Amino acid sequence: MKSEILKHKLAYGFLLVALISFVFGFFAVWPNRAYQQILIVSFSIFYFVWGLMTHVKSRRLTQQVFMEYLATSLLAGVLLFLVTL
Amino acid sequence: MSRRKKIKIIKGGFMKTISNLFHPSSKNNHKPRILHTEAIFYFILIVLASFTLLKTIKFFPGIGQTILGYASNITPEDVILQTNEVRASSGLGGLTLSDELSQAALAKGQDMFADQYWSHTAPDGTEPWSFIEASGYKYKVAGENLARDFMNTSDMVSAWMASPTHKANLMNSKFQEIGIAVIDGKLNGFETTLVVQMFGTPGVKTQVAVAPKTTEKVAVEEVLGDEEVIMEESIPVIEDMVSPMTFRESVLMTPLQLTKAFFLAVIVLVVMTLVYDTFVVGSKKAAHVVNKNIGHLMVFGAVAFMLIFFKGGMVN
Repeated sequence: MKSEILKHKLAYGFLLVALISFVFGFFAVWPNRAYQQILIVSFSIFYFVWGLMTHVKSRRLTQQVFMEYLATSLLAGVLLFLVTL
Repeated sequence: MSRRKKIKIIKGGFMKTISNLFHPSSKNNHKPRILHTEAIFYFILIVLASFTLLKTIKFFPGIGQTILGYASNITPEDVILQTNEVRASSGLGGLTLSDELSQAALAKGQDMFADQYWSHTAPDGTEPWSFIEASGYKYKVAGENLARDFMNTSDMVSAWMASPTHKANLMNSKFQEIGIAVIDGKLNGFETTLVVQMFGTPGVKTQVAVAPKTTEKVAVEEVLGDEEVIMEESIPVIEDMVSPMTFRESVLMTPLQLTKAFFLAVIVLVVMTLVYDTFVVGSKKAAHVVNKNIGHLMVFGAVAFMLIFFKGGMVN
């Protein structure tokens, strides 16, 4: 696992920075629910694109990978979006 | 077939199912069934269905009152104290309690429950100032802040301070008096605590009213000029007020707590499976699966953190 992170440290570093910014932004815009929802949708799209880009780069993008990132991004987004309703 | 054999077969089948769901093997294409794309889509459907079910609980009054109520420890005294604290921190004078403004706030809160709305302006167009005027309070400046679903006063005041328009009311140097109503009741099917905060400065020369607007989220000044304010004769009835303790004592959990608990359970299930899969597959040196798991783990970890620390409550 450690070697995997080191091997793709740029991609994971980018994801980590985006995640921290997203979490910080989510709480910073509180109590504005509309802004929180915009952030959630944006982050879901970001993670989906991030997943595809990292696999395009390593030439391992398949339909299965596409669907897996779509499902994971959707689940994360739906869980957060519903709690803000 | 003997009973013992039947039990053995059932047990064996159950263990196989569990193994198939959580343990990567050749039977599930070396990936726990729970992490398969179809399973994740099923999770999304289950989450959506559960949330819809929770929203329909309002049609079952018994459940709505005994299980999904709202528990808050907000008191008018705390609201006034904390309002004056934030004002004092900016060098502003404290606000004094006005019985008329409190009566106006109570009337506004009761009106929101009676007509089932959550806004500064009632569906029939009644503005907050009508309640103030009806209470007999003659003002030259007035304002209104609303809040709902907060567990405690400090979170609510923090939310108002985080919203520029509500902060403008809290920190308005023109205001001298305050009225607070903390009312429990049913809004759109769920027990909730509404807080109505009304500000005012006594006077009759110029009537200026200030309130955060629902849609534009900007402070709007409604200058009534030198027009004479017509006082309504009817004073809001307060004997119908619901005691705050009626619901607070019988509440098991709030809708937000139930939602968060269920969503966290889903995340824990997925994360635990991802962690297990990472270690099992990692030990087999199948790097391609581990690669995806790390990203998913980071995202679900962040989602879990946000769900845990998500604060309920809305201001208006």
